[in-house]
Amino acid sequence: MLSRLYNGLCMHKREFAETILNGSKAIDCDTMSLEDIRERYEQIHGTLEWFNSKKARILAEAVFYASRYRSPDRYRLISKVLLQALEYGLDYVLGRVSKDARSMFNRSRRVCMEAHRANGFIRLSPVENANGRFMVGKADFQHDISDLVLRYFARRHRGWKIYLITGNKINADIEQTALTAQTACYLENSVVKTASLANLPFDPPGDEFDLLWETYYESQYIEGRKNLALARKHLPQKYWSWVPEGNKLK
Amino acid sequence: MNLVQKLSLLGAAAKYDVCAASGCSSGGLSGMPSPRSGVCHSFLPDGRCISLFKVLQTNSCQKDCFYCPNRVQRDIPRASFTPEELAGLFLEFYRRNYVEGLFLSSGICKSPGDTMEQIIKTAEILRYRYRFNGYIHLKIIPGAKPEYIEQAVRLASRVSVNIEAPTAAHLQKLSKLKDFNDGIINRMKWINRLQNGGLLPAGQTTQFMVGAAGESDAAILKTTSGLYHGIGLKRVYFSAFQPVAGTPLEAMSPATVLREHRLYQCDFLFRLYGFKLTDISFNQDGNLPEDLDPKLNYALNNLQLFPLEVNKASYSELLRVPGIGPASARRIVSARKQFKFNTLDELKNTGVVVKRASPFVQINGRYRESYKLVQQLELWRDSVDYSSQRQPRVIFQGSHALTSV
Repeated sequence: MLSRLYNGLCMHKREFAETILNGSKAIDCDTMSLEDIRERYEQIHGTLEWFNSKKARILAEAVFYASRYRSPDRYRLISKVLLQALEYGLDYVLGRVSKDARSMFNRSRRVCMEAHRANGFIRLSPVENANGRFMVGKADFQHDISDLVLRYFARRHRGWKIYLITGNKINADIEQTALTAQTACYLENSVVKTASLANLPFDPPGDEFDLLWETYYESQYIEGRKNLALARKHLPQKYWSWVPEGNKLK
Repeated sequence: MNLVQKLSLLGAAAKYDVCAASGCSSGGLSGMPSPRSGVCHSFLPDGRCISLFKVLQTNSCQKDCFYCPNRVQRDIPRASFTPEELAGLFLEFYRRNYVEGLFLSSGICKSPGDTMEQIIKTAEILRYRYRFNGYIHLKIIPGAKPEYIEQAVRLASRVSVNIEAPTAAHLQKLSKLKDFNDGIINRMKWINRLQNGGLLPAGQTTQFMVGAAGESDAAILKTTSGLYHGIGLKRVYFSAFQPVAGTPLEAMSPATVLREHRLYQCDFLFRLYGFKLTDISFNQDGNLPEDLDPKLNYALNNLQLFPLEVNKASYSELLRVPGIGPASARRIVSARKQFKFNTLDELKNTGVVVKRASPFVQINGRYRESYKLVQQLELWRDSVDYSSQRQPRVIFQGSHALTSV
């Protein structure tokens, strides 16, 4: 809606800084409410009844995930698709008829899939000390999903503080903190914070349960059905270091 | 025997059971939540996912099932978890995010009642002592009394009774001690009645042992269809028979994974695509053709229904086209309200597998696929005299596809 109102492109701050539009005037979306934008839009371009529908919520959810896809053109693609929704209707976009819509939904799906896999493959080790109760896991994400994953585990383990130790790659372009090679991210008042490993309120734990798990894992394998290709498809190599049994898929 | 040894033994004893923490909505009237879709926590080298901690309470068993590694006559080490031990072990796995829930089965030690008591006690410890409100799948032991079944249904997200074989006669070939009608089917009916009272958010399931009793795919699918419609099962699982040394069936050939896969494909056609048993065609021996997926087989046997015009066909008609699934059919129908499909690329964008679908569809009255595929379609047309047929082609008279469910 903003794109159409201002006849411009929606761009992330960093994207904007890197373009020749750098000298142009930019609008800070965070200073506007959605309702204000909608009101102004409806005054100029007509009513937006579909905005309240279930279909609009599906689109909003897809936009939510696609905006976490790590790519320089993520916001540009989303605004293109939203413009198509305004012009041709929601069904056109939800049906993924255009290449842009398909691409945006594919990105949304990939982000969801990464979050889904992270929820499944991250192993947590409990630590209890005078500072509190902590669940500690290791992960590296391709897309901006650390807050989603932290919230998922916070819901699952109420009363425990979740820490995810991540490599340099994962948070390389989070702006607020200068990062060392390895950092830990955690939630504080629903906001993702990062800390260096030296400042953690616990010592990084080891876990004797890995042995029990590996025993169980081995007990489940059926030799007659061996299909390593299928296993590797579902548990790709980049996740092997997350799980104790990863080396068995080599 | 220490905990690691018990885990190894009782985990391995449960590995042929099939389960998934999926296919259910979250929450339910019973207050026992279940995951909306399965979270897989690992994958085995055989490609199967691990989402649940799948284990037996005990591998001591009084039954004589000819295929089973735990059968009474087999000389193997026996072990049992106490309910406290098992509940504690599961909870540690769950906390560390190794598993999403518990799948608890058991050999029948002493009597079905004693075994059910142990299973229920484990579930009670988890629910009441540890306040675990996640997913629990409990096996109902064939022959268990109604009061045990009712308590299990109250505690579990999902329960199941293994049917193993499609008919009583087939089950007799697998076990002399199991009673098909009273021990299994009647228990399923009781569970269904309890479920209708608002319990079991993830429903009731069952499992077939495929290929151990010499049964045909047609017989399995006939019973499967009956279980869905008659007893309201949520899912039916198929486990390809694998011979176990030291059992009466050790010399028998294993059932192929492809056979199991074809059965699952038919199962999905029943549940998600609106297919009926009469839509499925079988070979002369009553089995599904292994070289052709059942939906393509249906299309080839019903060429009079094709090609379908994608701009006009209904949702249910689109579901009959190979390469079009429920999601893409929904998108096509939805997009058509404001848009007319003109190219294969547009169809592809909606998620259609164009390579499979194109011989069976028209876009604006025209085929859009290469001449080679159209030629192939003509060859298929020549092989079937479909003009004289109103019903799906049934290859032999004894096929279950001809009989009513």
